[in-house]
Amino acid sequence: MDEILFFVAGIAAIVAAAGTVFLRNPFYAVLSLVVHLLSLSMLFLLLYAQFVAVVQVMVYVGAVMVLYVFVNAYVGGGSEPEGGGGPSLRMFSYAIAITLIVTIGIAVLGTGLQAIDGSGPDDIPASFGSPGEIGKLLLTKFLLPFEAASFLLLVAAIGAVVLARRRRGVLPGEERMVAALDLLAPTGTGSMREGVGAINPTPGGFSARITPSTGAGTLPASDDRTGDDSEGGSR
Amino acid sequence: MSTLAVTEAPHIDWAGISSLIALFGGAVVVLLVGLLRARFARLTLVPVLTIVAFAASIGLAIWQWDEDTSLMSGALGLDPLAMIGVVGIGVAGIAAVLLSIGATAPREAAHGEYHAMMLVAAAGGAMFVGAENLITTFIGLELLSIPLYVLAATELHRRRSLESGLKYLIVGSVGSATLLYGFALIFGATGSLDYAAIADQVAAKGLGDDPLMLGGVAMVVVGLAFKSSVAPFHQWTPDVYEGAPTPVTAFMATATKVAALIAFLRLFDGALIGASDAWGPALAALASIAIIVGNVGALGQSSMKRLLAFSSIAQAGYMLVGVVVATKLGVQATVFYVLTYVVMTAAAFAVIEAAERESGHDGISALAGLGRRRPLHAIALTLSMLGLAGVPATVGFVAKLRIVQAAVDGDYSWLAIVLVVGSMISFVYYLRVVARLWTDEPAGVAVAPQSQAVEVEAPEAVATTTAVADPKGLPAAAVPGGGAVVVTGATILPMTVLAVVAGAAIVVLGVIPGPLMTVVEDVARAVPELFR
Amino acid sequence: MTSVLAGPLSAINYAEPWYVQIIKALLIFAIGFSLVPLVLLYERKLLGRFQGRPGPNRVGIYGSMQPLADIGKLLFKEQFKPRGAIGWLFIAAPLISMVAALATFPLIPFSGAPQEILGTKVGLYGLDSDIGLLIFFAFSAIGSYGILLGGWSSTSKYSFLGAMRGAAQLISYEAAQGLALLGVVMTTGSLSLSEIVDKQDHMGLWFLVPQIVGAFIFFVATLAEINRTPFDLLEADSELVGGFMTEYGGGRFALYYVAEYVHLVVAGAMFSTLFLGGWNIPFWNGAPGFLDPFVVLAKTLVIVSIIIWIRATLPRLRYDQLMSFGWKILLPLATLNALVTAIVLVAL
Repeated sequence: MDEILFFVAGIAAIVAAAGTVFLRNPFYAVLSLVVHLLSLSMLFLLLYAQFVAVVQVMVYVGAVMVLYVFVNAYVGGGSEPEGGGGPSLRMFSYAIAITLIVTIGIAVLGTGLQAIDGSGPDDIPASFGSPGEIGKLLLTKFLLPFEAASFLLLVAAIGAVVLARRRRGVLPGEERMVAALDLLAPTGTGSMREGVGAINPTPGGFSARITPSTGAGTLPASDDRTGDDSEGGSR
Repeated sequence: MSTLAVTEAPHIDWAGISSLIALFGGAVVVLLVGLLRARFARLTLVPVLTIVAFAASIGLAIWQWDEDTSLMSGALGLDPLAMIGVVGIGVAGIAAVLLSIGATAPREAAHGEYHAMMLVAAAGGAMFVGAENLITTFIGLELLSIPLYVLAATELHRRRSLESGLKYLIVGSVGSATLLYGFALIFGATGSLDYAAIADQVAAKGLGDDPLMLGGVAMVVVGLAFKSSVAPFHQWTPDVYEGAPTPVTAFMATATKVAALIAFLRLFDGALIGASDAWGPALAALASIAIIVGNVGALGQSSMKRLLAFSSIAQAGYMLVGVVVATKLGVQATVFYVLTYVVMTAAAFAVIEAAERESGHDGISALAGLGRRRPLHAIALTLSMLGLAGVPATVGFVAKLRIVQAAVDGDYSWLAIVLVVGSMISFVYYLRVVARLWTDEPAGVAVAPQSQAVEVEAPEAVATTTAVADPKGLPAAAVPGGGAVVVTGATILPMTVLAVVAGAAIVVLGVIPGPLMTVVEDVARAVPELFR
Repeated sequence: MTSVLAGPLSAINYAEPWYVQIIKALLIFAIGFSLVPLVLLYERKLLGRFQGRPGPNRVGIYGSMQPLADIGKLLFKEQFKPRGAIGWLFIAAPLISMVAALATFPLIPFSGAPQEILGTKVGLYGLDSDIGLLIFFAFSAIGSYGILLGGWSSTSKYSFLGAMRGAAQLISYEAAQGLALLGVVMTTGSLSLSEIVDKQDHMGLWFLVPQIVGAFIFFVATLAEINRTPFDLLEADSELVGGFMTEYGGGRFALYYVAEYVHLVVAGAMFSTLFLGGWNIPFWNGAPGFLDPFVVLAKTLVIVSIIIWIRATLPRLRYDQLMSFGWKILLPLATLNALVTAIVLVAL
């Protein structure tokens, strides 16, 4: 039973992985990756790692890949992605890929093939791969990486917010967040003088910027002047 | 509820990880302070707190200097090599924070987030240099890299910055994946994740020529080479360095280099020393390729950031020589070189950032006549360039000398020759910069000819620049048709301070390298595997 | 949880003889399928009552044959497919939904100790794994592909919008749903569903009481996961025609339809297992074992009734309300609940 499952899952994993690379339609490539991950989780199950197997399905298939499918369905458009880079770069990438395959091939053929005849270790404790055991490892031997990984997630979230945050009216050299006292608009705000950039409506900030094409000065977005704290809202 | 399973918590040596905690804690504090609405908190308090966190981490690392143990169930080494890495990264961090004062990037990313990401990256670097276990190594590496991907792209409205972030992300992921695969193969071959246990296994089972082990080592080499931009895995470096905001580039160039090279030392001269027959020649080849590619590539560059990118590739090659020889001398030489590289690069980036703020681009032409306009900057940059080239009386010379010494001592004389030849080539472009600093007449404000702002597209030149209204009320320097815009009110002082301090360090350490050398002697304690 | 059979599959209790396994599998399948028309009828009747009308009352006595008539109608309808649809995905999507829904059904324990049936000891569950709860989440995650692919492969804008809403909604609420259960899991110290019920037995207290917040979050998030009102945005018939299944008809539509009701039953059963003490009868400790499955079914019926009641009462949420409710209220609340539970557990 184990052997049959192993070969079914192994072959499915390899075929699906190849499909991920070779399928031209990004949507199908993603679906192929989903199949690959499901096959991998089956392999994990065969390796006595039930917890990892299920988490693989929950996290990768259930959350990460759904987002992939989501984005692909929205913007994939079915068109082939542009193959960037010149022929030399392409040759370089082929060279890297071939080197990689040869390296892994040597490594796997040199040792992995022996494992097929073997029956695996006999002395695996019953609790191996159980959530309790993994939890214990995470809180003892791998406590530091575990805690650091939480920071990793935190910083990834911060990074995503930084990159995805709406930059309403943000201009180089302009502070969007204003302190309460700055809300008192300087005299002349709203007059013609301000219209030509003579008055700086955001104290401490800069009144005008140069647009790239014409060099004409434009005023910052008006909500900054009225004190509508756009940054606070977009956080 | 007595059914709760009770597990013995591992012993945590709080003093030992204090330097790491300073960085992590600093990140959290800075992030929260950045949310305050007061301008003072965001513009002043955040950078100050960041510098305090870096300084605290440096101080705590020095405090823990004499320790020689490992922490948290063997996850993290507490030894001079790790501590010197923390110090190097801390110095790089302080330099980057100084460069960020008044820059566009932190404003775009919001100050709190920007500085918090920098601190987390530094913490990742601190974990990376101290890691004594493959898992910690990988987590540390990711913690170092992921904030940098974001930081490189913070000037989102500038296409180059976005491109730089994306490129770094993709290449970095490839590097991480390769490294992780290599770790998996090494784990498969040795059945162990701890460096010491791996070294034991390799020695005991004679895994020096085991295919699984060699496959793993090969992939680890490639992964780390990606990360430390060693040719032929360097293609991303110039684009990323050029596109990223300059303070971020400075941090990337210095902190990442320290972390990657010390990780190289720890992993190869520590855990994998038993397989040195296999990786020695490979790394030597990589080092020589890096030296040649970096130096030749830098010749034609007109953007200072690109030039320094290629230069950093070459320098990575030099530093790798110390890893290749796998001797005590080599370890010391590499660590010494890494530290001096931080100082020299920081000085260069300080001047470049200042020039970029004044002229709007980072071309060499922005430096023309700097000797007259800003003599302090010009002197600092000159010292930095001479140091990077390895001119006597600068610290760069001492560092290079030690590397050559280590190479000859370790029977890699041919590598020493490659290094010397590479250095000779490097004189061409380093001196070209120096010549530009001192000979050309001041080009006058806003007259950067289009042809010289080659690497910077016209709209971007404007976007990177802080254009202020001049006192008379009309927008200043509104040059029709784009081109560089000169800023009169840009913050230059922090750059000057950094440039002066770093420039002075280059000379002082060049003339009296003794103390630093004595300090570096200590690091050999961290790699006991070398002396079995 | 000791097992006779060594090997990777030992974790999922495979201790029974193979023929018992097969009979059990068939039985679970049969029960799962026969519950569907019952619940279908029940919902229609109840909805009718809520709306002041009798509900179906023509086919059979008291309208009892109505669901069979419905299913028969669907099965004999023409199978059609929009011209632009992506063939194999269009066919596979309802199947994925169906399989993922049915796969969660065996996880529900209907009884504590194995029952003596015809001289063989049989556990009244399909699968009693020590990670049963996680398997439940894994399959509900796979189930979302049924919706996503069905909507996408129809190449119709209504289907597509429904599917995209579905993807976002399922991901968002899955997080809250999982976190809400941390309190239960921490108290029990296990992810096994039967152990969770046992724990409630030993405590003499249903988790509904100490974990009232978790129960609330789980209930709401489950409503979103099974696309019931007020979270039925992915079918939203007033704006999206039929949502992701707009283009489906006949047997394939029936598959989606059945999957939805299997989800409903499983949700009810899962809630009663986790928070209502499963087969536990309050104030009666020595209840005979054969009553256990019926207790579970009764509790399931209560939950299903509440869900139907909600459907008859509440209007549909707007999309942005859905999202901000999930991420800004439920998720932080669930995290807080886990935190408080952890502190209380350690303090006691």
